[in-house]
Amino acid sequence: MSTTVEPTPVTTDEPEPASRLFGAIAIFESAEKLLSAATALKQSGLTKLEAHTPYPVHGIDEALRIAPTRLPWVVLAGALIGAGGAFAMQHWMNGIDYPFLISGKPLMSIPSSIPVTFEVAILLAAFAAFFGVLLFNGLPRLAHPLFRTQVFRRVTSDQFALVAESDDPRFDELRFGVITTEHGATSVESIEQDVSSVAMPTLLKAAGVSLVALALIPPVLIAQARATTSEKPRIHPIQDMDFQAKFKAQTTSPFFDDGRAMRLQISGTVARGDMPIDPAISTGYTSDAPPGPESSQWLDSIPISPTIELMARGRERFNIFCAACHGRGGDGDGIVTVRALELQQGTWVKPISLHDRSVRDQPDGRLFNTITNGVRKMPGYASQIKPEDRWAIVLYLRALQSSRNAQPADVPADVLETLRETN
Amino acid sequence: MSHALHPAPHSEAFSGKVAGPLRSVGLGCLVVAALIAIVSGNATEFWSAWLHNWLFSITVGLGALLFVAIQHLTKAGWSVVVRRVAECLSVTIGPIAWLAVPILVALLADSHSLFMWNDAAHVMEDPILSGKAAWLNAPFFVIRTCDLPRHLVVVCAAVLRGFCSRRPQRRRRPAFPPACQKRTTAHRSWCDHHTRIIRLDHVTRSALVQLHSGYPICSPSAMVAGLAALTLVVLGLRKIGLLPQVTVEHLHDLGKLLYGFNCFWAYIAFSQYLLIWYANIPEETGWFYHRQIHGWAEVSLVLVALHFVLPFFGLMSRGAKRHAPTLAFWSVIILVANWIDLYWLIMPSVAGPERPRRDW
Repeated sequence: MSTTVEPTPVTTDEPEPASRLFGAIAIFESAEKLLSAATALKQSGLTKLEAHTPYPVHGIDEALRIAPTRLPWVVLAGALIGAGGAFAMQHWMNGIDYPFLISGKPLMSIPSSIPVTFEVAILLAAFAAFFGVLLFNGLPRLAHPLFRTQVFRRVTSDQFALVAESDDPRFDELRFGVITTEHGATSVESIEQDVSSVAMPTLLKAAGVSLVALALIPPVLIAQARATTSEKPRIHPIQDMDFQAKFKAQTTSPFFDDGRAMRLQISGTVARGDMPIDPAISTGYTSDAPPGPESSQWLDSIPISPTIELMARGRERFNIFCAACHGRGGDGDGIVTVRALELQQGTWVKPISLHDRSVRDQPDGRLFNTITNGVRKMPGYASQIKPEDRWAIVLYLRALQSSRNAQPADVPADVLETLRETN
Repeated sequence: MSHALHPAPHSEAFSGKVAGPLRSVGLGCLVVAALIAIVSGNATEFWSAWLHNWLFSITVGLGALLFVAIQHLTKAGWSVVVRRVAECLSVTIGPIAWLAVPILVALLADSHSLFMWNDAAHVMEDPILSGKAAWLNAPFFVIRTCDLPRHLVVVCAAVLRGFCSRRPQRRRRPAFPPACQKRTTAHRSWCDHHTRIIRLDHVTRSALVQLHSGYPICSPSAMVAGLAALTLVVLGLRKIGLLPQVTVEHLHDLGKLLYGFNCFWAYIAFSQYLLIWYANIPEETGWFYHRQIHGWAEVSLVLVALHFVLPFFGLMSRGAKRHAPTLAFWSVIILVANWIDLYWLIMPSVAGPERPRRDW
């Protein structure tokens, strides 16, 4: 095992200076003095002049002859891209990629897309302003020679500074000192720049690389989850929303003696809209239990007075609740039926025509009972249609049946005459 | 009808030269309009034009008053040179408020050419109106209308006192007397009433309408009108050399406020439209639907263009706000747009919820 010891390089020259002149800084007590000094320095031909003040000073742009910034155009571009992009995105999403009708509004509607368009325009304008400022100012910067001077520290509270940079061909430290002192500078200093190393510290480099590596983990995990399946139960991030301490309908509760979570109606009370009516009106029969098909206990007529308003109500309810399967004319050709037969899945029973003799001969009470409790595949509609409306439907159904099976005697004489003439 | 009062600065020669002829022209126009109304027998046209222009004139003063109040509350220093002008503008509320008296007198005299709820026969037929009759009636309306000037007179008097006193600002006295602040906030109770004056339409209810036009204290309409008039007067006085202290920076700040509040107006106006459009409730959509038919669609589009789209892009850049002629141009446009805004709010609903546009 041999060791080689490298000889330490010996420099015979003058040691390289660890810093060089960056420029000069002059401190003022007021914005007015700074402005007049800046104007004078600009007149002397300095180009690389910067002012640092605790608050924005009016007139400093003119004094320093700063060219109008291009930032507003960048912000405007950001806003227009945001507005246009958001508008196009919403129209493409809702009108083309996945057309979805909401509340009958047009698929591509302008009013509903304005809030998002506005918000994204603001967002991108703010981004453009933020990153534009960073870009135009060459930020972020890890260090600046100004921070090495003590006098600069009070610029953030109550003092005003003018800084001239030494790489300006017209820079002359002595002249800078004379002119600024003439205009009331309280101190003038030169600024040194550390030139020992401009390389990024290893620690920062390592931190940056690890950050980038760590940032790759979430997208990789997401991609993996999307591409594979799992048998584990799903994660519930918000426990108390998924599992709420409450009882639902039809469940048990240890709190009450009878073990039910739902409470029974208190005896002697009536729920809103639940006023008791004559049982015959609410059931359609006079016995205690539904009678047989041929029984005489079915009500033979409608127990509420048949007015033209009741007829209109019956037509409206019929077209809402019955026509989907039975068809508007009662022939058993509603849109649901037509579609179900098209699909040919074999589970659908086509409703018989309401004009069929077997239906026509049924007493009114039996038709009412069918609407209430359903028959064969038809569900009961007691929970959706109130008893008066069910009688209204029966009334309309009778009118519908009469329209196909009327006798000349059913029609008033003058109407009959008119009909005979027109046919 | 042009009875908008232009306040003259405290320069006798100037006020004599400008205010006199303006007053004569305004009174002359008023007489001509009254004659036309009497000859044609069309009282509705006369009263709706009166209401419209009265509200337009008073919004300028209300906006200026709001501007003054904000300057005091925020202890703003930049605005001292233009605040005097705003104080002058806000004092116009005093005389202009009296111009509401003819409307109230007509109401008490059972005129229903403006407000259909003052027609007893009509109220009987309309279940909504008869339900609101307990408070939607002439005496109650008059009392509530008089409530606003009562507060405003106090505020204006305080403003005037501040204007007349030449004592320096540093004096340790609340700049805006607390009593005035209380009065200013007391206008909140007036907002609902003001809405009713403007809407004339008793069916529709929308909280945002009050923000748009009815809320005298934070109403974007009033603020925009006040700022536009203030900017114009400041520019005019500066041009004839009466306000040499006003620099480009002041103009820039006024322009920024004008631009910001104009966008705020558009924000509120569109919020109202969006909610009503989306909810699609018949008694609310009717108000907007009527403004899309019977010749009102053109007015609506002109309003959108003049009150938002054009000023939004025209006054956006820094240069436009710092260039006096450009700023004056957009102030005029926004002032005209505010006039159209009130026209659009009032005229389609005068004497009933649905009235076609009339061209003359």
